[in-house]
Amino acid sequence: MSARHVRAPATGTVWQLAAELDAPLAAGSVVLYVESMKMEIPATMPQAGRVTAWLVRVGDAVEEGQPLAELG
Amino acid sequence: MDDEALQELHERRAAALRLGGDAAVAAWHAQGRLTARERIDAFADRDSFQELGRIAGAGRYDAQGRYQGFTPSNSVMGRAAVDGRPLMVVADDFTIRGGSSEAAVAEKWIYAERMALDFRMPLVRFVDSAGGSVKLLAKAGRTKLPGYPLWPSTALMGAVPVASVAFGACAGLGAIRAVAAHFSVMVRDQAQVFAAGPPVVKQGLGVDVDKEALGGTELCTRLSGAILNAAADERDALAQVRRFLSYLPSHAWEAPARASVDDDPQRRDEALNHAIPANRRRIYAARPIAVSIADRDSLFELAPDFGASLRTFLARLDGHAVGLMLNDPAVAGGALTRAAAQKMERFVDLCDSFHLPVVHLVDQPGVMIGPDAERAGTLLAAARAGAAIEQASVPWVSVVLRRAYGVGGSMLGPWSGPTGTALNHRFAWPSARWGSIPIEGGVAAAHRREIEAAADPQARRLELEAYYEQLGSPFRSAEAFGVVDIIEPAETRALLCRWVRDAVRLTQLQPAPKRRTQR
Repeated sequence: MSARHVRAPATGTVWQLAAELDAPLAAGSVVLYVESMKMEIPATMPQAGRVTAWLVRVGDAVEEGQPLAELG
Repeated sequence: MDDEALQELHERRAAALRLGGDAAVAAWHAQGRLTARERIDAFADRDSFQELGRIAGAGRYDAQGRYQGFTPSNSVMGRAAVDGRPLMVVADDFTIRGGSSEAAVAEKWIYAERMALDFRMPLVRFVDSAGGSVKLLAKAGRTKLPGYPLWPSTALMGAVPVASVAFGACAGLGAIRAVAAHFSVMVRDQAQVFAAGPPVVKQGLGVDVDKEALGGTELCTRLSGAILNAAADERDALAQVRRFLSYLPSHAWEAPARASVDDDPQRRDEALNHAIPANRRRIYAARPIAVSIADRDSLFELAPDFGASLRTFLARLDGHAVGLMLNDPAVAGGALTRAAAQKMERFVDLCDSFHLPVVHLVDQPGVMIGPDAERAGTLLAAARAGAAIEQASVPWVSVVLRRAYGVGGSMLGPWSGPTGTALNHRFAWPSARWGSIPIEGGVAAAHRREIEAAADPQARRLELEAYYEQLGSPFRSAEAFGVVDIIEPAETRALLCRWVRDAVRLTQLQPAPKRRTQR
């Protein structure tokens, strides 16, 4: 079963959105970066697909595992 | 000797081989599971299993006291060999009373563990036990205070390697026998490990929970760390135990044996010179660094899913078994989380107990911060890991690859050691940076007034940070001999392979059990 969300890889803040909405993305490609412990931790596509909506904005505090983007 | 007695012996022996009987074994096989005896055969060297206590169990007799039949103990045990080295193996047989510990003839499985201790042989437990059963209380007509006075569970941990496999639902004593080991592995989607199963939880707490959510592989190997590794199936679990044992000595009175090696100790890997991104906010893949430095195909990762900001490997350098720790910046930025600290403590204890020299590749931003980390008890876990390092007398070398900050960064190796003479032998890559606190944030705190008073506070802050950045060059530390040397990353393997020869000279001198056991 394919995942419906990209989830936060670590607790921190959203540093940078790194993908275009609705653009085709390969599995493993970076969708956004979460800043945690002064590092940019990439959140990646769990499978090939598209980001259909952002659930967070740059600067938002996020918890590990929190959904960050919806996948279509 | 009369023939009748011999006949009875053979009958009893044959009955033991039938385990819970043809129907129970067939039902067991239908679930795709191996019996206790099949597991031992699949695990040990061919024909090496010498069973002990095969005819322990419960005999049935007629009114005149004549032998009618026999139900064997549901604990199968004996001496076996793996890779030609002797060990003790004890396997629960679930086809008899759900592997219940109380139907095992307790003296028997305890004897296996005592024999491992007395004969200084590794102990391997195949756990498949639903714990105690009330039905046996009715049979005994009394209860007993729980506990097994002769079971040397803690002493074993300081004397011989102990490995366990959880094959099914393991509760109570079965769960503890699975958890209290140097290496533990559970079969995914088949094994669960918990203090008590769903019916007891329902009764005690009114909580409905299925056994996979209560003690499945995800929970045990990722969240709680109660079990180190997950296996895809039963044979994978057995292979992992064999692999684990291959790095260890048979007991704490000897050092690990050197393996044959076909990898050049001088091998350079130019890729390591570019492994750490110049942009210090960027993460990198940690595992390939360990793969490159260790002997080819020699890495065996312990607890890969738990506290994964620290990766712990059994590995080889020029054929010598070592413990290798490596931070993974892709997980929690590489920070020392509560889980990573607990994992570190156990791993250091393991290496120290069995004379595996420790290689620590450091990229440590520090002890994990934040409300969740504080609530989780990260500080106490970090303090215990630090204590384990200071109590370790096994040879130790660290190489700082990137960051070593704060209390977590100070835990790169023993600063005094148990005898007060530890060198803290340490090297660094040119990409290393360290300090009591990171420069960003640290500058903002220490120069707050100056920054606020500046015409352009932002510019002043960056200026100050750039100044401190210069001071943070590892070459300045090396001038003061704060590190033994700054090395080219490509030459790390050669350095460590030279070091391990000297390290092994020490571990082979007079290996003896450490005074503490693994905590």
